[in-house]
This record gives sequence, structure tokens and C-alpha cells, in this order.
Amino acid sequence: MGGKKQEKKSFRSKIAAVKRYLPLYFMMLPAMAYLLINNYLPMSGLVLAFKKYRARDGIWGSEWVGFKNFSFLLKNKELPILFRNTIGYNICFIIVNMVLGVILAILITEIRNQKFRKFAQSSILFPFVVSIIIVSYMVRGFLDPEAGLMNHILEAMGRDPVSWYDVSKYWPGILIFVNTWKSVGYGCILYISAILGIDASLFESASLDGANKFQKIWYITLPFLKPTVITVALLSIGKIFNSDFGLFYQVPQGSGLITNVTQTIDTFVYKALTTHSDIGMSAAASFFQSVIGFLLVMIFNAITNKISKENALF
Amino acid sequence: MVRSKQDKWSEVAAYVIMSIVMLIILFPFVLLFMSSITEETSLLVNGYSIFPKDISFAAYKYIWQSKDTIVRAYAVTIGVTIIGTALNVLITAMVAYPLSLDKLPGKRILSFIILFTMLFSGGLVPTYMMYTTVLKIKNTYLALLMPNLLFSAFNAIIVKTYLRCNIPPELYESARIDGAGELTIFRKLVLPLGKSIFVTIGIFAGLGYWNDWMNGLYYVTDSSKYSIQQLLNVMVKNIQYLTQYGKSTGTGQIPSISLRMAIAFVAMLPMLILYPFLQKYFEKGITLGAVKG
Amino acid sequence: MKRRILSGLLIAAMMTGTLAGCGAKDTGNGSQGTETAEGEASDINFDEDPYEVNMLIALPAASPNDSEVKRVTDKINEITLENLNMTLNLTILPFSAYLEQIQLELSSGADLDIFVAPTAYGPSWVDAGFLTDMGPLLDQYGQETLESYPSKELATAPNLNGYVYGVPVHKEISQQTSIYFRTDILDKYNIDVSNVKTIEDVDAIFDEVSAKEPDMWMVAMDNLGWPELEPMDYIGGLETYAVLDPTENSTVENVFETDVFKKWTTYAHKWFDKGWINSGAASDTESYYTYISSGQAFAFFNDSGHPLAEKDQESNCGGTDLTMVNLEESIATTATASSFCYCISSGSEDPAKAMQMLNFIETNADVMNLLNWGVEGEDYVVNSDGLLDYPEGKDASTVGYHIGAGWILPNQFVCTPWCTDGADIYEKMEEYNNNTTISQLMGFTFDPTPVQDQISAVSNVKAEYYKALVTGAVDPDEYIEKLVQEMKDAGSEEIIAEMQKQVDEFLQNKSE
Repeated sequence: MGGKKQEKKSFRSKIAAVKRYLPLYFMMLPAMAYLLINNYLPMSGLVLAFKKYRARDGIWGSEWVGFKNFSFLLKNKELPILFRNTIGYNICFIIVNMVLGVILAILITEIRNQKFRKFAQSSILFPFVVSIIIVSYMVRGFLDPEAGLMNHILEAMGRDPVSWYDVSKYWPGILIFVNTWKSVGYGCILYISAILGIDASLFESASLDGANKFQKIWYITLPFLKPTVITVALLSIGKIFNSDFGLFYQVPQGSGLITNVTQTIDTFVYKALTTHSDIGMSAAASFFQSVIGFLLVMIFNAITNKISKENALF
Repeated sequence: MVRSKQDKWSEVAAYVIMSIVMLIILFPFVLLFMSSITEETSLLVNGYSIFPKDISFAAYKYIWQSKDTIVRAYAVTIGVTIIGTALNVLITAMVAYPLSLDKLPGKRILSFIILFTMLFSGGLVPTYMMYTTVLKIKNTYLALLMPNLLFSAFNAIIVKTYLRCNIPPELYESARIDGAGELTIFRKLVLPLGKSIFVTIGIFAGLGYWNDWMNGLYYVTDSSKYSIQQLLNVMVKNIQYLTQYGKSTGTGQIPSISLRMAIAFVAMLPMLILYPFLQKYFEKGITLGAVKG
Repeated sequence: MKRRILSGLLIAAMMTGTLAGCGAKDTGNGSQGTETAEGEASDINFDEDPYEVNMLIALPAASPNDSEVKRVTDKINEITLENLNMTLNLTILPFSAYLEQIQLELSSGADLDIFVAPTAYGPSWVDAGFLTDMGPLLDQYGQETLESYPSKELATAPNLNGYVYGVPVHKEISQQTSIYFRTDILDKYNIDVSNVKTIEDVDAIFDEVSAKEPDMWMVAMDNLGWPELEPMDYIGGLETYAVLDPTENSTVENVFETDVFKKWTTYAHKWFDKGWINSGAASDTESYYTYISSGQAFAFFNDSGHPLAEKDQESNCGGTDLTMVNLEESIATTATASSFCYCISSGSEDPAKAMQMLNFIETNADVMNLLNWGVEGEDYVVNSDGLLDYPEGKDASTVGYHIGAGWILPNQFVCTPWCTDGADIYEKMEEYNNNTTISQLMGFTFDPTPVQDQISAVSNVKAEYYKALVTGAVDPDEYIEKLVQEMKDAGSEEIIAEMQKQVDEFLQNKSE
């Protein structure tokens, strides 16, 4: 009986809490309305993964076909390679971008010369302004077998030119390098802002206590960066089955002989769709990627909840 | 403050390493620019080079032909970028601040609703139908502003994390005790204290709008409303079609390779000019000590 | 956890009623169209409000400004209002935006009447319910259109099992593997190419020229195709399976297993090893025209071999003087006869009216001239020979509207020729079309749905080796075997069996 009363009371206090926070809920309204329009309403498209879409019948009127749309992807013999490449590259990208991003962020904030620091901050973001198609042309400028800069350098050194676009062994390195070049700035600038947000008095009192540079980085900077790093990592895990089509298709210029190290789920789906453009097939592929990403985020979020609750996503 | 020897050494190391890193980052841009002013045949015969033998501005001359269209497209992009970035940061801040409060009832569910949009998407066709048949924004400037770019779940979650870690809840509590309403707290505390993260996501949002050509591709077919990226993208692809399939429409020989590079350079240029001016907002945020004191 | 996902989905499900409604608004329009088609063709009701036909065309170049298009369509509308009581709302898109736009519009059921489509997309678009069956409409309202082709077979070549999804644009209908030599080099070394008939002859010429021009590439290649040295009819739009000698034979083969492919790749590999082919060709995105106009290469292969093609190719190479030599007999197949076709979308509000409009455009010289060249006096003038030219002091980039790409418009053959093309360009083209050999599979389109998964898998395997093989970058003795084996593992034989079945059915129906 007492329990029931308490429940009632806690319900009432919940109502009171909600009332108190009402203005905050109102503040969230624009974002939520936007998500409804931009994301949740169109999510009806998810059912297309299980339908044979016909424009005349609309999304709901189209015929259900079960898992038929998935078969082109899941029954394919190349599936293990697609999985290996997609996940393998993504793990490399996450780790490299994180480690390098944090190191560069710390280095940049160490620089005292204002002009140099601003210049460094700007330049790491420059690659962002270049579309991946242009990046593929820039890469071609280096790796073109005839006109490329790399082969000119090799020839000047008296070595044989390499036909870069035909040899698999170079491409994991090239792709990781290009990806890092293009996107390390993104994480880096986030980490810079996190470092800038650290209360300066912490460093001062640490200096007074005789802490050296590395101790300050280890005991102050890194712990402050931890939540941001964990958040970025968790969010990247959700995209681990997705890949940047431009990076894996445009940058290797669709070259065939290196596909065993350049093809990912997205490039495979693209090629399949060029033989037969079908909304159901692309819906099925992205549904599959989403479900796996979703499960992984759930698992890792649960683990984070166990280890350091405050850093979990929800 | 006395600086230790170690501090000096670590700063020197920072200079050296960053200089090397910047060289790696910037070198491709130098190559990009130099190949944009290399004579087309020389580019094919002698190859790409930082010190080209034959310099030619033919690519830029070709672009100059459509200067009116380019200027208009710049205006569209700049307008959309400014409005979009401002709205994006405001909306994000308004949703991230409440979520950063541990006590907010329903916080986990709301966070989940936001996160979920990062993982699942209904695909292009339903989104297209939403925007064209329900909201009817095709061929309006809203089409460049609204779809996908106005709010990003990623940014919201990042800002939430930042606010939760960097602003102690006691600050809000004492403000509330002083009688401040939520809006006042948001304006007087959250916005200034989170400045560096807001500038950061502002940069992300700004780059997102600046670089966007997908919305244009899907929702804008009226060439007078093209954004700069869409216009340049159309130019690059048209050149590709023209050279690949021939069927030239009498426009004469186009310097295709150097032109692509020149177009890429034109697309970046204003960003390179404007970016240093944005930097002043990127200074060390107001320290918490100062506010507390 | 499960509950939360469900609630997310539920919100989506509740609200999507509206979306489904939008998509479905035109349900059953196709059949309606055929019903209204019962009426008398020439019956035009001038009392009702004019019907607006939404038409979309695509260009491989920048499209004219909307205001310029409006200026031209206003002129067109004067004609169509008077004759049909209809108006035209024309959208012109550059290729770069076309494919995304058209697929979005078609899948959202937008109210689009007439549009241009790559014929190869037909089967999947019919399968997705995007396109109206034009067969009955053509019989009812399109007699003149049908008559503008050499045969009804050609007019309705874009059909899937009798479901006519488009009418082809009017252009040369056949393909003919040919080689184009740079005339300046031929003259320089006094080489006579009049006896060149086969690849062996070409090889001999390369031998001769390369001795004198050791740094020059003998042939510039791209990796999009290879010079088929014998007539063949590709089945299924993948350029992977074909019927060789398609006037006599009807056996579907894997192209990569044929002798002719072996022959080509062997030559290509030999040339590649000698440094006669641009070495980056397997991954290059540049076209071979680039290397001809830069003076780095001596020759290239192309599959257009009609008498007028030489001039086209010369302008593609920046005005380089070329000499064309045909290496095979010309052959017309479903694919070559209809690169692009004009379709009526299933979202069209009145397919019968759309068909009437299309028929009118196809046969009306004034409308076609407006579409192709713009407004007389503003965008072009008629010169003393009765041919068209730019107004004084203007060119392609300074006139407001100049498409000049008849091969993607409904019917360029009714246009007045442009002065640089010569007065008899269209007659010559029609004559070439009338004299070409036609594959017995003309009008056959493979329906890939029964073997879709195998096709995805096979095309993925093909993508791995194809570019390197056709550009000679790898040894055919080793790689063809690899390719064929992997294709078999991916289900190649099932695809061939299905193709053979459909081909046999087609031929049987034809003979009945």
C-alpha cells in the first residue's frame, strides 16, 4: 500500500519536473519538428526494402516480396571481401583519424604564435572544401602512369615507373592516406574546441604544483578530451558498414584490377544498380547497413553505459 | 608566468611537426593550382608539375566566359550559407542544451530519437516526395536550405557532450536561484560559455552548405537558382560528357584537365579568403574561472 | 530497446499515408489512356482549356537559361495551340542532372508527359512501372511517327515483350567498327590506307609508323569498350553476351569466350607491350580524343562508320584532320538503332494527348527547328543556300538558344540543316540507314528480372578484368580464362540459358 502511495507521489513529482522543464522542451521543438519532416516521415521508405516498388502503386500499395531485394547482395560470393574491406577500412579510418586528430589538436593548441596557429587551423580544414571528384583528379595528378608526379620522381631517381592504378598492394595505403588527408581536420577541430574549453586555471595550478608538459597533457587535456573522443567513436561505429562511395570508386577511378582491395558494399551496390536500377535493391542494401550499424551502436553504447555511464550516447 | 625549458622544447617540436603536416596538406593544392595554369598539351605531354614549362590561363578564360552566372551562383551560395549556418547553430544549441542536463526527464528517449536519425534513413525517394509534393519547395531557395543540412544529429550530440562536460551544473543552479529564466540562462550562460563548440559546429554547418550540390541536384532545375558548387559540378560533368562522347556543339576545343583544376580552385577561393576572418571567433573561449569570479 | 524502435517506426507508419497517397495519385492512368484512345484521332476539342504537356529533354552540355527556353516555347505554343489546342512546358537538363532528376520524378509519380530516356534503362523502368505502353497510342495517334522510320520494327524497337516504351530518336541506326587515322601522319609518310580492311592491315600500318615515330602512341584507347571486329548483337545491355553474325545465327554466347574477343585482346596486349597504347588507358577517364588533339597518338577506334562520322570525329578532336577506314560491315541492332528514345511516363495525366503532341513534334519542321535551333532572326538566320547560320556577329555561346544536338531530339530529319553540315546531311543519313544490314533480333529486348542476382554478380566480376583486358594491359591467355571461370561461378550459364530461351521465343513469335 505504501509502495503505491510512493508511486503516486513519484508520478506527481515527475509531472512537476516536466512542468519545470517545460520551457526546455519548447526549446527542443524546432529540432524535433525538423527531424520529423526531414527524417521520420520519409522513413516509410524503409519498407521499400521488402517491396517491389512500382511508381503507380505508391509506397504502401506496392507488392510485398519478403527478402527478395536482399538476395543480390547477400547471396553474392564476393560478400566476404566486401565485408572485410568495408569494416577493415572503417576501423583504420576511425583509429587513424582519432589518434592523429588528437595529436594534431594538442600540437596546434601548443603553438603560441597567433598567426601560425590560425594558419595551421585553417589549413587542416582546406581539404574539406574540395569535393571528392576533384580529390580523385588530384590523386590522378600524382599517380597517373604517364603524366603523374610520382612516376616523374621515381624516374628522376632512376627507378622504374609504377602503374599505380593496376597494383592492389599500394591501395590500402593510398586510400587510408587520402581519407586521412581529407577528413582528419574534422575531428581535429572538434578536439581543438574541446581543449580550448578547458578551464585555464587548471593548467596554471598544475604548473604551480610543478607538473611538466606531458603530465599536464596526460592528466588534464586527455581526460577532458575523452568524452568527445568516445562520442565521435560511438557515432562512427554506427556507420561502419557504410563507405564513402567517392573515395572507393572515384579515387581509384573504377580501375578493375584493384577491386579486391577497393570494393566496398557501397561500390558493389552502385555497380549492381547500373545494371538494373531498382529502388527496392538500394533500399535493401541501406536497410542492411543501417541494421548492423544500429546493433553495433546499441552494443557499444551498452558497454559504455557499464564502464563510464556519463559518456554513453543515451 | 615563467616558461620552463621543457615548454620551449615542446613548442619547437610543435612548430616543426605542424610545418611538416601543413606541407603535406597544402602541397596537393599547390599542384592543383599549378596544373590549372599549365597549358593543356603540356600537361598531357610533360605531365603534372609544380614548375610547369608552359603557362596558360586558357582555363580561367573559359570560366570567365560565364562570369555572370558564376557571380550569381556565389551570391546564392553565400546567402544560403549565412542563413543556414545561423539557423543550424541556433537549432542545435537549443536542442543540445536541454539534453546536456542530467536531470531532464525523458532525456534518454529524446537523445535516442535524435541518434536514430543518424542510423536509419528512408532513402532519397520518400524524402524527395516529402519535399516536392508535400512541402513543394522544388526550385525555391528553401530547397537549398532545408533538406538534410539544417540540423545534424551528429552536431547536436557533440554539442551536448561539450556542454555537459565543460559547464558545471552549479552555474545553472545559481543562476536559477538568482531568478533567471531558461531563456536568460541560454542566452547569458550557454551561448557565451559554449562559444568555441558553437563556432566549431558553425564551421561544419557552413562547410556543409558551402560544399553542397546534392540538394541542388535533386531539388533545383532552374539554372538561375544554382549554387556555386552545383554550377561548377555541372560544368565539370558537361566537360566530361563533351570530351567523352564528342558530339561537340561548336564550342571549340576545351582545355579539359586544366579546366577541372581551375574550377576546383574557383570553388575554394572565397572560402580561402573568408576563412581567416572567421578565425577571430575561434579564440580561446572565456575561461570558466572568469565567469565564476 | 525494442519498444523504442517500434515507436520510431510507428510515427513513420502513421504519417506515411500522405506519402503513399501522393505516389498513387495516378493509379490506372495507363489504362485510361488507352480507353480515351478509342476516339477519332483527328478530333481536337478547341473548346476545352488547352492541355499543358510537360516535356523533358537532356543535353550533354549546359542547358539554356529558363528565360531563353521560355522564349522558344512561347513560339512553339503559338503553333501547337492552333493545331492541337495544347501547350508545351519544356524543361532542358544537362546530362549531369538528368539521370537523378528523371529517376526521382518517375519514382515519385510526377506529372511528366514526354521525356527522353536512354533506351538501355527501358527494361528496369518498365519493371518499376514508370513508363506507359505506347503501342496502342502509336496505332491511334502516331501513324505519321511510325511512318517516319524505315520500318515499324525499327520504330518500336524499344519494347519489352511487346510493351512499347518509347520511340527512338532519328539518327544513324547502325554501328560499324572503324579506325580513324591522323591524316597529317599518313601524308607525312605517304601511307595509303585504301586497302586496309582488317586488324592485320592496321597492325602493319602501326608497324610502319611506329618505326618512324617511336615516341607516339599508335592508338589511343579509352576503357569503355573495344572495337568489335565482327558484327554482333549484344543481348541484355551489358555488353557481355551477344549473338555473333546476327543475320544468320541466333546462338547467345559469352562475348569473352569468343575468338574475336581473343583476337582483339591479343593484338591489344601486343601493342600495349610495345608501348603503342596509352599506358594509363585501363584506369583513365580522359577520352581518346584528348590524345589525338594533343598530338600524342596516331589513331583511334570508334564504332560510328557512316560517311558523315568523319567530320563529327574531326570536330571532337579539336579540328584534327582524320581519315576513316571501316573494319566491318555496318550492323543495326535494337541497341544501336535506339540509343535514346522518347517515352510517355505513367504519371502523365493524359497519355493520349501526350502522344498527339509527340506525334506533332516528330513530324512538324517548324517545331523541330525551334527546338533545335531556336527562333529565326534571333538565334539563327537563313542564308542564301536556304541553310541555317548564326546571326551576324554571333556564335553558339552568344545566341540565347542553340541546342544543335539533333541526335537527342525527337526527329532531326525534318529540321532545316545547319550550314556547316551541308544541305543533304539528313538525306545521306537516311540513305545510310536504308542500306544497312539489320539483325534478325531487331526489336528484341532482354528481360533481366528472372536472373537479376546473377547479372549483378557477373557484372561485378566483369568490372574486375574488363578494362585491363580491352586496353591490352594484361595477358589475355591468362586473364580471359580467369574471367570466364569467375563468370561461370557467378552464374553466367544461367544467364545465357535465360537469354537463349527469350531469344528463341522472340524468333518463334516473329516467324508466326
